Amino acid sequence: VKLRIVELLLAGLLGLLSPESATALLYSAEPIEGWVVDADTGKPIEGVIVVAHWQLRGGFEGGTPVAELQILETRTEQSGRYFFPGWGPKLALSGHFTSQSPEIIFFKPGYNYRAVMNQWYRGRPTGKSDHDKRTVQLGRFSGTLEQYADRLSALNTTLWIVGFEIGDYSGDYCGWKRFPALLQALKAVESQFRASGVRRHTAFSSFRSNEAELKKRGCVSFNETFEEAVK
Amino acid sequence: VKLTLWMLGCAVVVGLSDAAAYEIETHADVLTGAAVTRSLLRSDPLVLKDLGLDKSVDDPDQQFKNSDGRGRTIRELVQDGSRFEDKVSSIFPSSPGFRVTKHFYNPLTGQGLGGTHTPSPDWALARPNQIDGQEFSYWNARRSFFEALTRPNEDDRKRAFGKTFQTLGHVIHHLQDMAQPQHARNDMHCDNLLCVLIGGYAPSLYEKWTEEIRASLSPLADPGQAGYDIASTNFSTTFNTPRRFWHSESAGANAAANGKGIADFTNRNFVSAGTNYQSRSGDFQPNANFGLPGPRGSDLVREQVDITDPRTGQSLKGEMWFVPNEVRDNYLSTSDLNLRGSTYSVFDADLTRKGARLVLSLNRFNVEAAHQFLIPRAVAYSAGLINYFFRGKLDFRKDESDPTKFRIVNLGPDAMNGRFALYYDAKDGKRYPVQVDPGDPNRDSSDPNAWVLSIRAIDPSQPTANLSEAIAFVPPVEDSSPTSPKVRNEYMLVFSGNMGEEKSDSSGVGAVAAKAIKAEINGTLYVKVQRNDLSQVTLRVDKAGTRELEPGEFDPLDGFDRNAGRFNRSNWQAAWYKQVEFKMLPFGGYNYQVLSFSVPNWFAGSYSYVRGPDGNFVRRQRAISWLAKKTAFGDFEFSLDEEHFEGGNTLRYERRYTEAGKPRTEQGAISWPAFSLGEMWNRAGIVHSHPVISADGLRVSGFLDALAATMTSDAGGTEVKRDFVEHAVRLLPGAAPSASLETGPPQPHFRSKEVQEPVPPRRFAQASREFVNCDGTRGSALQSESFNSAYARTETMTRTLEGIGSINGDTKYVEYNDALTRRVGYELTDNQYPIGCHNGLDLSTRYTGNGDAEDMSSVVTAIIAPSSRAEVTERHANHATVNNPDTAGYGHAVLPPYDVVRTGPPPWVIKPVDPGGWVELIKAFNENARDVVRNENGGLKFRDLTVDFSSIADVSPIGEIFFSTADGRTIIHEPVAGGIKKIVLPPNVMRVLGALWL
Repeated sequence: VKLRIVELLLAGLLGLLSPESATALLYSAEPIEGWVVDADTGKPIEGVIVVAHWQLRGGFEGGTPVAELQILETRTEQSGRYFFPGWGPKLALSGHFTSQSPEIIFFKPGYNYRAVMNQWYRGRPTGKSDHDKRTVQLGRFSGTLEQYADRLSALNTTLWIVGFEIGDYSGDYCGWKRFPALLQALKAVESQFRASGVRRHTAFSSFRSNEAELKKRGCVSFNETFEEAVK
Repeated sequence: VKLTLWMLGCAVVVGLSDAAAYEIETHADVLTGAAVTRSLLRSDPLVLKDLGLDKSVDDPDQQFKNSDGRGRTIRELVQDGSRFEDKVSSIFPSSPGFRVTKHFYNPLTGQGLGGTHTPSPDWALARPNQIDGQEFSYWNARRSFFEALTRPNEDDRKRAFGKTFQTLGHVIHHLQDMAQPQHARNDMHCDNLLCVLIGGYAPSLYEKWTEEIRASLSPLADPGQAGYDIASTNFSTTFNTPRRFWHSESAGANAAANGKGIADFTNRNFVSAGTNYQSRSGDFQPNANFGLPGPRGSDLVREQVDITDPRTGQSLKGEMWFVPNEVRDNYLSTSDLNLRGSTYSVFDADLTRKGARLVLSLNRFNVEAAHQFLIPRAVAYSAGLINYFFRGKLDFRKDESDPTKFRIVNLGPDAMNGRFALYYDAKDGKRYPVQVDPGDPNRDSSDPNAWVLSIRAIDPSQPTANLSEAIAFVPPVEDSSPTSPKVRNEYMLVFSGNMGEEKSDSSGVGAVAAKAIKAEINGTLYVKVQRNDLSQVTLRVDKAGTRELEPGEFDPLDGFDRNAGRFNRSNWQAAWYKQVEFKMLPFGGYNYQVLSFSVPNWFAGSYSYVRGPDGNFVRRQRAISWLAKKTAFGDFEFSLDEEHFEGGNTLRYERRYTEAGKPRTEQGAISWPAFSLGEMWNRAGIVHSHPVISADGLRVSGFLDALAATMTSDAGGTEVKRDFVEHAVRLLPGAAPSASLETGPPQPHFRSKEVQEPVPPRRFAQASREFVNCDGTRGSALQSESFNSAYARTETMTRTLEGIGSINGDTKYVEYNDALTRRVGYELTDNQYPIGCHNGLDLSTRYTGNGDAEDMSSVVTAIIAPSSRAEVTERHANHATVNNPDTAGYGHAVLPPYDVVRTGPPPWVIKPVDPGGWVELIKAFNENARDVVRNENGGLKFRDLTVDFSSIADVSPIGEIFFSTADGRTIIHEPVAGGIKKIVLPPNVMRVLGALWL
């Protein structure tokens, strides 16, 4: 543990001079407003769960997610609009703010989920999303539930890292609490899997099956918290 | 401060880089996720089942802990490993924090990064403890795998499984890295601060851009996109050592003829940012350190491009010049052209005219062009290595010549030479080795619990070449002790040693393979019920217990209608037919898999179900559908329209096969052979009874055609004969299959003969009955009659008769124990039965008399059945004892409803419930005498139950019984040990509507 702390401090120190760290220890982000439409009809989609997360990367190799600076969740309105307020400044001692942040995840059952991020180029300023004032298209999924589960596999990995595993570096293992609507939706998807005899899971049960680990890491009960959040 | 300075110093010395060849989520999601999907771990459930893992790679109920102690599915463990190979971090040079510096490899020189760091294959394939800090190498995975199978403690085994799968992820991470040109050409890249300090800050655009478009790469993550068939023999024989996945020839060679590893392919076909071509005055040359790829400078591709400048959001138009190069795949022996191998213009032509220099560079267009080649191969080599790791395949069989011994079967592609051992799980929760028979000559001289054997690989020309010598072991003692087996005859067979080119050495266990030997029986019972609120639901009963099917879940009884015509032929059972594949278990008994079946439906006639390519049942209407799997021409699904089976029909088929690594499907139709029919009402055995579809799906029989009956009478009695012929259709698989008719020779089908046997003189005991008056005076003898009474002794002669009989369209072999009793020394004793005096008359009886008596036998009836050639003869006083299927108006004799793949004599022997009494056999469900419905004294009985035609029943293909009264109040459900659990009927069930045991 001591070794890890030393490493994090060192990485934080190095982060001060990181070529991509525009604001070094203090970070902020501008508001994001966008719209989601159906890829086929062009009509706005209401109720799409949108999660944006701003990730710090670092570690000794530079590309390891080390902290989530901010995680926000919302749903699209009837017009398909979503909005994330600006935030900051926030203090972060380790890692650097990747210019590709924020990654914005769009999920609605029955649609292919999408995740978009900023286009990278050298010297890119942080704190602004390429997708502000933009419209994102979601395509309806067609295929078997197995294939749908396959598609969700990448989302599961992202949510697992963002919501929990990143705590190995940041100490915050409870990021999952900040996207309860997404977890609720994934829980419903899992119910559908079970109903159809598809033995697959989503990030929801990844968290649930590690309940003891979450408690050990200082989060309260996943099940209780989640149920509360759902209410 | 000292530490920091030291660290910085170390970093400079080792040439620190940010070298995640692909960002970690690209590794995990796009590449490793796809690799698991394309590997045998996902596509062949037996791979995990052989390891004792019953659930799929994605099943959340089968999780193991990763090295961080978190519960993960198998897929997630492999993905974790592929992420952790970059993520694991610490600050000391000897620690895994510097793993990333071991992710480079130049196959031309055999060197790693900077010529000083451990090359990728050396790191990923290091033997345990060979390199300090490396505990996630291929050979670590082998060791963990061995421990997962053999460690005594279950928790240890689970932990080892977790590490096995995670470590495989670490290893294939390297193969994925080798599909990034910078890593296969030792081209350092870095976006870390330390690199700024040493002047080496150079983020990899390749990786950044790949990460950015990660979501769009999934379609490319398919080996087939590059023409790779990783299941092919060519692939498995080419990549027959772990190292050859990186590099197939010795370092230094650079000829086009060799180099089939992924590092070879990437190294010689793609330039990287730091190893681009060289240009002198427009004359393009290969990079000074890499002879390949060779630029086709004379074939510059000029394209107008229109991109959005990410800095300004403005459209950026201009002409770009791309330098093409040949991309040669030495494994596939193909050559292609990468039109965007490199870029010769970062400025447009106008700027050039103004004096700006053209430079060689790489941009998103080059990266995306490279993806087309590299992403499919990254997945192919990753999935290929997973397959390689699990390629060992074993079976365990009883020795055919000596039933006390066994043989190990090598079903894998490589010869096995090494240690084989059996383990069993005991009641105390631990796994113990099984002792080898001390007299077994193959016993390991240094280990009493192992054999040392050499078993060749499968050789189609020598079917028994892949069998071991006969071996014997001492079964663990079965008693109440904690070390006695938890489940009888269940073992884990584990091999470790040399497998093909994969050799063991003193530091490791070598290759590992395993086979979980279980007496486990497949099976699922579906029971359709009606609840108190009149709603209907189907229950599923399996090893997990009883549960209601969820909406949308597969329900074989969906649409089942017991009032549909075909149900009458089935009698109690929902299935019209079942095509079943049996497998003999090493310790006796059979396992099975239903390949196709059919249930009646009012509108559709019947619903046929066949297993689709994914193993799940798919429904076909108005047709008999069945499968012929794994023929030389692929898998076939045949469908025959329900009507006109006698001929003139069309047999439709769908052929599924693989060609050049691509799955293909073809549909076609052929004529169903016509055959002449004699007695029309008797013609269609398949319609009026049960189709008999062989397990291999290449023979359909049950077309019985009865010939005209003859009747002859003589002094000995009257004999009725009816012969039959059996038609069968034989299917010959091919690119276009064909069907031919097979008509058997005339065979006796039914013969009955009433014979008036010479009856020996019957000496009935004679007795007189007298009335005795109340006053003791003798009354009149009213009559004399014969009757039975006590005898001095009894001689019983029992005969066992067996054969096949047909009742209600179902034919079973029948065995009757017929007792012919001779009562000798018949003696009547004086007896009085005072019945009291009434109205002055005291009546009692007295019997006297003596003599012998013998039961009378007078009728012999015989049925000769087609398949058994056995004769059923039953003697019973004054009865014609076996139903005549012809005159009874039912269908005629057919085989049992399954094509039973078993050895030895026919097991379908029915023993009547009451050998001494007379019952009419209505239906036999299996070979057990008690599992019959019988007509006894005018009522239907199943065991002790009084039943009727609304009762519900089915049996599994191995004869497990399910029987229920219609109200569900009485259920007989007897799954075998190792089979499914007993049904638990919900309390709100008012009626049982149907049952189907698959």
